[in-house]
Amino acid sequence: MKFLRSDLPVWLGFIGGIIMLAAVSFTAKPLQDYSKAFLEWTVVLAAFAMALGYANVFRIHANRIRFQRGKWKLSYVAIISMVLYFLVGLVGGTKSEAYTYVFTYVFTPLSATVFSLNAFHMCTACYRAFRVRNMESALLLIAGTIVMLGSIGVGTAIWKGFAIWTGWIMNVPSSAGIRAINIGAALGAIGVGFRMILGLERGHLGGAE
Amino acid sequence: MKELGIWIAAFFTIAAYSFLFDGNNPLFAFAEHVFIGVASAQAAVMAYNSIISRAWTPLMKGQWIMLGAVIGGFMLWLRFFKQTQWISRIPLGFLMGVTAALSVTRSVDAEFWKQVTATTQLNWAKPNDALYIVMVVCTLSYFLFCYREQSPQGAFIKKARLMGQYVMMVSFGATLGNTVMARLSLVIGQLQFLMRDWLHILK
Amino acid sequence: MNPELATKLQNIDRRIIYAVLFITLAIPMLKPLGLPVNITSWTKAAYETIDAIPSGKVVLFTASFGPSQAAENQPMGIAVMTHLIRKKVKVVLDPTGAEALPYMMVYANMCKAAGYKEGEDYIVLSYLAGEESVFAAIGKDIKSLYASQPKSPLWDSIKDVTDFALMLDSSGGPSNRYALAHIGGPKKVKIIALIVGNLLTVLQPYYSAGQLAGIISALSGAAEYETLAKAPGAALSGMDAQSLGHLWVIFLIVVGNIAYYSSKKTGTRGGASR
Repeated sequence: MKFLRSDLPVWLGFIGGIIMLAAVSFTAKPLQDYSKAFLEWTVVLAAFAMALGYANVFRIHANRIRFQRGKWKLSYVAIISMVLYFLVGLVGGTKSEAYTYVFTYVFTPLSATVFSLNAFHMCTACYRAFRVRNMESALLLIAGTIVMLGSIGVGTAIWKGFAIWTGWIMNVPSSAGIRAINIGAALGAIGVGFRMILGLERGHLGGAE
Repeated sequence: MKELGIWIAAFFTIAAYSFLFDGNNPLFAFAEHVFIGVASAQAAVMAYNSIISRAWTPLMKGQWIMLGAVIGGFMLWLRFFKQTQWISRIPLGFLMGVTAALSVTRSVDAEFWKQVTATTQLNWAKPNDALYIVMVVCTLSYFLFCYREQSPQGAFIKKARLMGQYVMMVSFGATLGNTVMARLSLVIGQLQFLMRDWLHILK
Repeated sequence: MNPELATKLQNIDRRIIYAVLFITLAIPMLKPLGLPVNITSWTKAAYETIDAIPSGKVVLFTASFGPSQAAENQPMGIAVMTHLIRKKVKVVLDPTGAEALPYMMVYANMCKAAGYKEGEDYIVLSYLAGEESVFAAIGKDIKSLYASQPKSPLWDSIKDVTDFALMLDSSGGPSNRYALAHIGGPKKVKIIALIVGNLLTVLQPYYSAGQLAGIISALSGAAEYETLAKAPGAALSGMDAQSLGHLWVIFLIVVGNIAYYSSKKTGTRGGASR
């Protein structure tokens, strides 16, 4: 039982990972066929995981109604909209008029507007938090200001140099800094990836290392 | 129907923006819960279609290898019941192993090797390229911690780290500028909808 | 500076900041300023790469953006599709994000309106979950991955991802990196990234290294492409508003710093109220 509970998931992760890595370097047909099958299994498992997310949201709101916790009356709104839209998509399909109607006139404005609230919070952050206290913050704000002005018409209208300096900042220091960060992050990702494949990292399985 | 849809969209847009001026008011809370419901359902519908097209249809056509994925998927759903929660770890372990391998493959070639070779292939004779190489090395040195500050090498690395810090600040400043642009675009998109499609004051 | 003024400047009600932002974005939409559009090298590279595709070739257009990124990604997608249709290039549309299918259908309708025949000149693949796994599987064997795709002359002419003259990946997340790692690198397919603004600095090193053939980034990138392709649209009309919005943000940064340093000198403190 201990094998099924704690060792089997680690072994399956190891087998899956090793075969995928070996398929990059070796062209043997059985290896390539296994890696292709594993990728297609992963696609299906990811879809089941997405559906799991839906069921979890349903369960959370159903429990809120059951135990009358928090804004439980609004949980009726969440559940009704969840079930109705799911049925519309299931029965009519994703290319049906009803599905497209709800996507266009309910989901799209809500998603876009909620995300756009970020812009306003960013304005207050710029006003409250961005202070030139030292060389680092000065560089950050100067670079940010030049890029903001160089990317827009009014900046180019004030002085053509903003666009030229924006191009230089994006192509040289910004690109160099981010490249170095990407290289460091890639080394970290390689380390973590190998630890997960070898079973040294088990946090994703809900257990200690 | 289109006009009704535009009014519904305008209602939800204004309800969401009401958060800015009145905090977490009932109108915003209603819109928020509709968003939660519709967003989850959207993901579920796409997941269902994905399962049908990539698992169920091939299975019905005799591609029995997909049976493993379907069984694994149902094992994932056993997460909901306390007694069978441990079963969901089996397909999860496999999923994480494969995605970890994909991440390693991606990191080794595209994100590490090609970036390093692109840096070494730059031309020292060109001022911008020379500056680029120096900036990459200085920024990388920022993440070096295994040196003694008192040694001559340590003093040099300390100066390089400072330069790397400055380069990163310029990068983050450029990111700030681009992020401001990205976020404002979203508001522009919503304003265009309200003014053109709803109020008809824009062509 | 007068200490009272410094304190007032440090305590501006955030609702005023929001209201002014709305006004600065709305006014240029009503009264366009006609400001110039500056063409960046990475957008020009994207345009030239697409312009070099011969008529009749096939392009793979993947998209993983949703409504929260559509304000930027949709105008650039429409501009690129207009260019591709004008050049009579065939398109395989692939929604790789759960919310991207309706936007792919907009591109499909553009093809239909231009006289393209579904199955011969364009097709829309089904959505599959998995993000990086999907890109890796596309790189390995796209026909096997989309085995349930109905047969058609265009789909049958594709044997492998290398049959595509170009890949366009439109996203608000990391899918461009998946594409260049699993398709661009091993299969040597040219990739152009259509992205939201905050991803430009992240992808710039890949463009400098030659791993990406071009980048179209943010509403400004969409406006640049519309200018290059001579296909004016929503992006160009939004750029004036973008300009004034940026000026308001810069003004807030400057005012905030002046007020902070003035109050520091006089010994008073404050911050945005409410």
